[in-house]
Amino acid sequence: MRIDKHQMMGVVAAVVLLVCAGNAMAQLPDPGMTIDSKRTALVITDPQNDFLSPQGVTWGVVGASVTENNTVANIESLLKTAKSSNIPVFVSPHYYYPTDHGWESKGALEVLMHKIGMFDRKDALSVDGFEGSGADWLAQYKPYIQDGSTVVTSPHKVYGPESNDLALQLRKRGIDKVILAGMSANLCVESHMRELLEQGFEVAVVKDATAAAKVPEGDGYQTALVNFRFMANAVWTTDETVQKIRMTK
Amino acid sequence: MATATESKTYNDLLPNPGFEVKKGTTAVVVTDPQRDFLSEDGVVWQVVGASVKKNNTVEHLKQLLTAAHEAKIPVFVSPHYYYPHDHKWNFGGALEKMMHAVGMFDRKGALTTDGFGGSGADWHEPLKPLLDRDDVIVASPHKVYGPESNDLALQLRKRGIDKVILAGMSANLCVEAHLRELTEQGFEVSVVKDATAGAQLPGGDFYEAALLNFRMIASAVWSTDEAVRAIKKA
Repeated sequence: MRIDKHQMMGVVAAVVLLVCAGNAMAQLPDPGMTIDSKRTALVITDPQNDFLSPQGVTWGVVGASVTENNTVANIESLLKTAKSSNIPVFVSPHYYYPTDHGWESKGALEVLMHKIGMFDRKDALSVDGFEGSGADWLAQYKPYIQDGSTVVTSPHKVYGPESNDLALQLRKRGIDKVILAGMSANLCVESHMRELLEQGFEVAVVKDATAAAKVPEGDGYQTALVNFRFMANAVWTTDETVQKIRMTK
Repeated sequence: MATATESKTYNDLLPNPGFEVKKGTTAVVVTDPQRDFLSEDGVVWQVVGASVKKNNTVEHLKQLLTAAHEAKIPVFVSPHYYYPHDHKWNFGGALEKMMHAVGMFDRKGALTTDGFGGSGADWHEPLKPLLDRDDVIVASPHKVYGPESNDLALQLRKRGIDKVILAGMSANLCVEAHLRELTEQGFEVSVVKDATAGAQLPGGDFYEAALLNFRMIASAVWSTDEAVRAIKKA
């Protein structure tokens, strides 16, 4: 392989960055993200009962992580801070309609979600039985999400925003920087992070305003943290995020 | 309504949808089979080399590609290249910054192969006979990690492909990004878990991270042996 002087310096830098360092994760570049209130939005995925309420269908596997991270209160802090600082809020919800159960091919977790009736709604044009169901917002978020200014996109149908209008809605408001939080860390949050990065948005992930399934075999939250750190422009705590938003004009 | 109660393993929790190889609608897709990942003088060998060796990734990619060619299962490659104009991007994530800093996958231009042969962006030598063939479809380069920025989905659909057997480099980045995006685009995806590898750093094992997400998101997670058998049976 032909390597010029500049590339060689890069190679040396990478080796120093990635191998010699005691804590390699801390040595990755940290691009950072500045919040510009006209171009930055808060995006929350799946702030719904099936993930965040002890009555939700996945609480048995995500409840421990939600409790550990204080996810419910942290998401509320983000919503509250964004509203008081006029940072626009977008919610990307997850709903399945009876027609979605006619799909011919599905991945493992999709099969499970369909089987346990996660995020089920009776119809795209009916809210019959919706209120208080697993698909509904967690009750304490309703004042923020239903305030008339939060943008609720159409539902995503797998994990990412490829199947809804989130990117369009963000662009229509001139948003190119996203503060991302919600459920669940390695699935919908990570898929939103990945797709928004591919679509040219800058993304900061709020690592304790999310949580994930955890079983003794493996922890979806830890998996997500690794990929957040590698891929996102910034990874913040809720406290850091709240401070940064408050400091923004 | 059943609930997902506490489980010890993801196998207790998760169904196995399975994946049937069907001739005419199934393809093998390989991401980044390039020297910077797979060759000992590649720019990230220091961090991925151990995983590439442990998984026997190169040999497994050879076996998978050979089986696909013998069975006339079409092979698509989604490569990763950066041109000088890509280095002028205003922002990037952590690993993007790193890739650009080390000159990973750099090419001099979209319309020149000057300096390309044997560079980090070129195919890994042992795979060349299996990739440099008239019947292998090479998509345009992806630019971050997934196929959102290239023509892979279009090329698959133009050939009537709706099932993908996925392998290549690296596990939690481009392979997983391809798995996620192809799934979102309605393709059925099986991942060949030992025909890939990931970086291993003191802060985390990215191959293990990928395995967990493969299990949750894909229709099937196979070893190369299982994939080759499934292809031969089709």
